[in-house]
Amino acid sequence: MPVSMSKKILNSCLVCLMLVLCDLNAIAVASGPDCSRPFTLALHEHGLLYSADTNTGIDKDFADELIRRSGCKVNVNVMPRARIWQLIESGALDFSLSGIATAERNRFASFAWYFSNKYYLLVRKDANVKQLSDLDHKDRFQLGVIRSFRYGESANRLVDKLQSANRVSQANGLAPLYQTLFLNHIQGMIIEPFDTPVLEEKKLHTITNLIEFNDPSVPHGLIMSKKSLAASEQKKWRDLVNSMRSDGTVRRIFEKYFTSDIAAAMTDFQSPQ
Amino acid sequence: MTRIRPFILPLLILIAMLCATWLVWNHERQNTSNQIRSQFDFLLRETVSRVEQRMASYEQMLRGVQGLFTTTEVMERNSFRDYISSLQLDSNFSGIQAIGVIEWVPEVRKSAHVAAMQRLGAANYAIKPGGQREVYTPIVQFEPYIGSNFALSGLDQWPDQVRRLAMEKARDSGKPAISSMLRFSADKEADAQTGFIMYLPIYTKGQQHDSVLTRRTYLTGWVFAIFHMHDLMASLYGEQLPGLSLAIYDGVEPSASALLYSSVEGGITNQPSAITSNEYLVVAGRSWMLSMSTLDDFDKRFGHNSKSLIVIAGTSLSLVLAMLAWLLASGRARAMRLATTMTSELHKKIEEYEVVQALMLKAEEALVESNRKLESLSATDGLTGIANRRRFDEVLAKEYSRHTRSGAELSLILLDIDCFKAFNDCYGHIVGDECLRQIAQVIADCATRTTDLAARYGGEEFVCILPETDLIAAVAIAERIRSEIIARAIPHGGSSVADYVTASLGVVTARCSANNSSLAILSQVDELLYRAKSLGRNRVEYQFFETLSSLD
Repeated sequence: MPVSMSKKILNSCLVCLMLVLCDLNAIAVASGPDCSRPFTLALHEHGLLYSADTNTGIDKDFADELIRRSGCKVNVNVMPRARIWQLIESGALDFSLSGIATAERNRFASFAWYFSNKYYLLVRKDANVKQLSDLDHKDRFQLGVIRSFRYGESANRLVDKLQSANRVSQANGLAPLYQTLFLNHIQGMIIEPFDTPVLEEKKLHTITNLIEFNDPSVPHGLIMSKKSLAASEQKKWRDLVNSMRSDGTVRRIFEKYFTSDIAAAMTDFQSPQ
Repeated sequence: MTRIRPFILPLLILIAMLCATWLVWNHERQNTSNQIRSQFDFLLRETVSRVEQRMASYEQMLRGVQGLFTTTEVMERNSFRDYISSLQLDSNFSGIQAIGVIEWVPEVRKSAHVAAMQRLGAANYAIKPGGQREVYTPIVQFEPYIGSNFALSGLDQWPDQVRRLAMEKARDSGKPAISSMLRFSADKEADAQTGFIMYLPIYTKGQQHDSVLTRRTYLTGWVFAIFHMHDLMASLYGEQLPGLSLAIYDGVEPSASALLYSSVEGGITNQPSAITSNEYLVVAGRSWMLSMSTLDDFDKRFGHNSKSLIVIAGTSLSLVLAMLAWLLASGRARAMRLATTMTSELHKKIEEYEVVQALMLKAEEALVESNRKLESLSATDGLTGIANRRRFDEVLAKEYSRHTRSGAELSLILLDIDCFKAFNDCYGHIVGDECLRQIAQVIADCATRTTDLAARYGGEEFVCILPETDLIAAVAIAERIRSEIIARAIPHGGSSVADYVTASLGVVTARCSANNSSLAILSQVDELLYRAKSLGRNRVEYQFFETLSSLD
C-alpha cells in the first residue's frame, strides 16, 4: 500500500474519531441534570467548609462549581445543620454538602462522595486526657457537639455514651463551641481537619490537644433529598460530582485551603458503593 | 437455733421480695428518669428549633426589605412605607419594634445628605449626635413612624460600638448580623427592655459584591429591625413550655448582665433536682446560649408516679408473704409443740391409768383373797380348824351326786367323844376345847387323801367323808382314829370308859343312788354311833348301807 494512501486512511479515521467524540460530548451534555426548576442548596458554617463572615469556604467553592457545571438555577442558603437534615428529609431542600451517611439518613438522602476525612477529639490540655480511654475516668468531662452531627463509629459511641450521662452540650454551630471550650465550660469537642486552621485563629491551639479517633476515614459528600430528586436525577448529579473529582477540580478546591499532601489525603479515597 | 428456725424462711422471703421490689422500683425509676430526660430533650430541641425558625422568618422578612432596595433608592420614603405596610406585620411579628433604613454617609456627603432629607419633608432633620466624624450612619427611614420611634430619626449608629460591630459584620459578609444585647431604655416604659438589632447590608445597585473589598466599596446602607426579646419570645408558635423555665443569654456565658430573656421573673434559679441543659445557638452570626431547666411540676406532668405505688405495693406484698410464710413455718412448729404436749399428757394419763389399773388389780386380788378367806372361814370350824358342818353338808351333797353317777362306794365315819360333858365339867371348857382340837387333828391326820374330808359335825361330834372307799378301808381308818385318840392319852377323869379320852365311831359304806339320799346315810351312821355308845363306848360300829329297814 502506498504511503499517501495510508495517510489518507489515517486522516479519515481521525476525522471519524473526532466526530464520534463530538457526539459523545453532545450526549454527555444532553444527559446533564434536569434544570426545568430551580433547586435549593444549603450550606452550614463549619470551619473551612464555609464561613458566613467571609462568605467563602470549600463547600462554597464546590457549590459554585457544581452549579456552574449543572447549568441549573440553584438558590444557596445558610442554615444550621439540624435544620438542613430536617428539610432534606421533608424534600423542601434539594441539596447540601459535606454530609456523611448513617442508616437513618440513607432512608431519605443519597450521597455523592467527594472527600473523606478522619475525626479528632479536641481536648483542653488541663483536662488531662491523653487518649480516649482516659475519658472513662473523667466524670466531669463535658463534650460539645453540633446537634444532628454524626461521626465515625467510635466517635459516635463516645457521643452517645456521654449524651446518656447528660454530659453533652449541643450547639447549632461551631463558633459557640470554640468559645465555651476556651472558657472551659466544655472540655472537648469533635473536629475535622478543616476546623484546625480555626484553632489558631481562635487561640485554642496553645491550650488544646488533638486525639485521633481510631476509625477509618469517613466519606463526605453531596447530600441529595430522595424525596425531591428522582433516582435518575440523583445519578446525574452524582456523575457531575464524580466528574469534578476525576478531572481534579475537587482536589484543586481543597488545595486552596490545605497543603497539597493533606488535600490529596482527603480527596483520594475509594468511594463506597 | 430451733427458736430461730421458723423465722429464717420468712426472713429470706422478705429479703428476696424486698430485693425484687427494689429491682422493679429501680427499673421504674430509671424508666421514668429516661422518659423525663427524653421528654426534656425533645422540648429543648423543639424550643431551639422554634427560636431558630422564628429568627429565620424575621431574617427572611428583612431580606424582603433588603430586596426592596435592589429596585428602589434608599431615599424613596413612600416605597419603603408602602412595602412595610404591605407586609402586614401583625401581632405574629410583635417582637419587632421598628424596621428601618440606615444610610452610609461619608463626611464629604453629609451636608448633601441632610439637605436631601430636609427636601424630602423632614424639616428638622439633623444627624444626631452632632459633631464632625469621618463617616455617619444615620437612620433615614423607619416604621412604624410613631411614639418613641421618633427619636430614631437621624440617629447615627456608628459611634455605638455594639451597633457598629454588627453593622460591620453584616457589611463584610453580605448576610444578616445581629448586635449583642441592648437595653432599650429610651422607651417610655419604666423598665428597660432587652433586645437586639438585626442588620442586612444594602449595596449599590448593579454592582458585584462578592468579596469583602467590593462589599465595603459598594455599601450604601443597611436595613435593620429592632427586636424586644420578651415580645419576640411571646410571638413563638406553639404552647408555652409546661413545667420548664427558659433563659437566653447573649454569648456563651450565663451571666446576669447577658440575660436576654427569662421565662421566670428574676432569672433561673436552679433547683438541685432539676434537669438543666444548655444549648448554643448561632443566630445571624451571633452566639446565644439557651438554658432550659425543669421546674417542680415537670416531673409530675411527665413522670409516672408508679414508683411510690411499687414501693407501697411491693413492701406490703413482701410483708404479707413473709407473714404467711411465718404462719406456715411456725404453724407446723406450733402443731408439733401441741402434739408433743398432747402426747406427753397422753403418756401421763396412760401411766396414771396403768397405776390405777394396777391398784384395781391389787384390790381385786385382795378382794379375791378376802373372798377366799371368807369362804374358807365360812367352811371352817373356828375352834378346830377343820371343815365345819356347812362345808360337810356341801361336800357330802356333791360327793353323793358324784358317787351316784360313778357307782363307786362312799363311806362316812361319825365320831363322838365319850363322856365329853363330864370332861368339860371336870376340866373346864378351855381344856375341853383343846381336847376337841386334838381329836380334830387326829381325824384330819387319818383321813389323808385329798378327797377325804374331816369336819366337826357339832359339839363333840366329828364326821369324815371318805369317797370311793369300801367298808373295810373305812373301818380301818375308823379304827386307826380310835387308836390314835387313845394313843394321845388325853386324861379324862370323868370318863366311865377309861382314864383317858376315848371315842365311839359309826362307819357306813353306801352305794349311792337316786332312790336314796345323803340324809339317809347320815341317819344310818348316826344309828351306828348310837349303837357303839350303847355297846360300851370306845368302839367302832359299821355296816354296809342298804336300807334303813335292814338295820332294824
